[in-house]
Amino acid sequence: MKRIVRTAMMFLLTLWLVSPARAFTAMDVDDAPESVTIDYLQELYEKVEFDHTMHTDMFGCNACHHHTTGDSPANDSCLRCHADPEPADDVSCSGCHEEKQSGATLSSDSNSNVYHIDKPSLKGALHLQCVGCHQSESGPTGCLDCHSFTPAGKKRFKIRE
Amino acid sequence: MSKKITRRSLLKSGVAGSIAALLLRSKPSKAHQIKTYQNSMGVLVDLTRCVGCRSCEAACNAEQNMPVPAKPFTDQSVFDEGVHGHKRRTDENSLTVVNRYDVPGLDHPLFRKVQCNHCQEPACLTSCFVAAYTKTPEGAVIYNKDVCVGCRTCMIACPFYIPTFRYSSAFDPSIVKCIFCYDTRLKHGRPPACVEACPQEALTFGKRKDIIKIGRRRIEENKGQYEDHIYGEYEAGGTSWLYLSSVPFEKVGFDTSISHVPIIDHVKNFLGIVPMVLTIWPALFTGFHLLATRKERRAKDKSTNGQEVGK
Repeated sequence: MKRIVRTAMMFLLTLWLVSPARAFTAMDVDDAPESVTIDYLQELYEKVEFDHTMHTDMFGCNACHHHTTGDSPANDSCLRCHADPEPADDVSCSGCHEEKQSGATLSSDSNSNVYHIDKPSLKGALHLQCVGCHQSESGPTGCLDCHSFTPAGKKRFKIRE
Repeated sequence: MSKKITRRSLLKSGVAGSIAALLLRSKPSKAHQIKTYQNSMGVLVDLTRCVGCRSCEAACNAEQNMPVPAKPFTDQSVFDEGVHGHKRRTDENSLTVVNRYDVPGLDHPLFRKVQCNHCQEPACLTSCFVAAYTKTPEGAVIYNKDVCVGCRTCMIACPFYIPTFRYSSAFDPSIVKCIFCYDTRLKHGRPPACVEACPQEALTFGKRKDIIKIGRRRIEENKGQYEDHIYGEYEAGGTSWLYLSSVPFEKVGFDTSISHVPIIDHVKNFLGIVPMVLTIWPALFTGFHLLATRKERRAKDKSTNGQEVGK
């Protein structure tokens, strides 16, 4: 009995997957959060309140989310495999970018054709994305323009009161 | 005088010496096989990513318990401190420094982090006659203060001018250099403090062979954005710290004249001759001296003999 149910489900799933009526639709910008709190790295800096709406008003989703929101990616490297992308279940940065750098764990025999061989960590991804764009779009680029120090941060950077 | 040195015997020994010199001379050096550790670690430094925030300097200072600097690590004015085009260097209080380079034709400055490159065949190690340096299987070049005699040959040997000397302490002098956070981190498989602190992931920690692959891919994937060269892949026989740049490396302070063979290969020939010089030259030149002063001595002998006869 269990088996029949499973087979039926698989059949229906396959039918849905191959059905021509099914088309990937990009996520709607109105569903996006107004603000995102970036709070995973709070040892040296206070959490950062990211004004998501302000940025979506100025740029498309693919400017930051590569292909995960269902938009065709802006980056040529992503385009090679994700020309017609499906919205991902998790579009948050931390959904793909891990807290730890992958460089240390990269095994030598991993598939070198995969672009993701050089995927930055969460901290690297956020900074490269934000600072890179802020440089070309003349946004603020100083560390303390976005961050404020915690007491530990002040101690680390040897700031005298 | 029992044995006279004649012109003939002197020439004979001179010729013999020359032949010996030719035969004993060390073979012209070939790039020798460098003993490398398969799984040695390294760091890929991407100059296009660095924004000069000095987080790595701050992290290094904290990790290695270095003294508090005069200016906080948020102070960007240190980039203008160099005089006559000289940039900041590592010293007894800082194992790593970041320098700014304003490259003509580029609308933004580039930053370059300086620290020990942890060579595969380190010149500091090969130059040290008390073996105070060790190249660990993890890739770090570490230093043992207890056996160091303070000769500072390593400071001259290093092609990157990295080891510095603690002149300030008369009772505790020692060489000061980056040790790849070996004791506290690398030994346990963790990246050094500077790498962990870098917000831009300008520093990528991994196995040396892997980060070379990553470097190659970055050059390939971002056509025109990088120089087609990974600095340190071959320089000085290869280093554990490797660099990518968007401009020719000499424009951002790299010494591109450093050859691809280990520094020891440049001095091996010379060092091979030293023992020969020490053994043959004294005899040879003593012979020349005796020959040159022979007449004088003979005249002196004669006059002494004459006096004796006259008595």
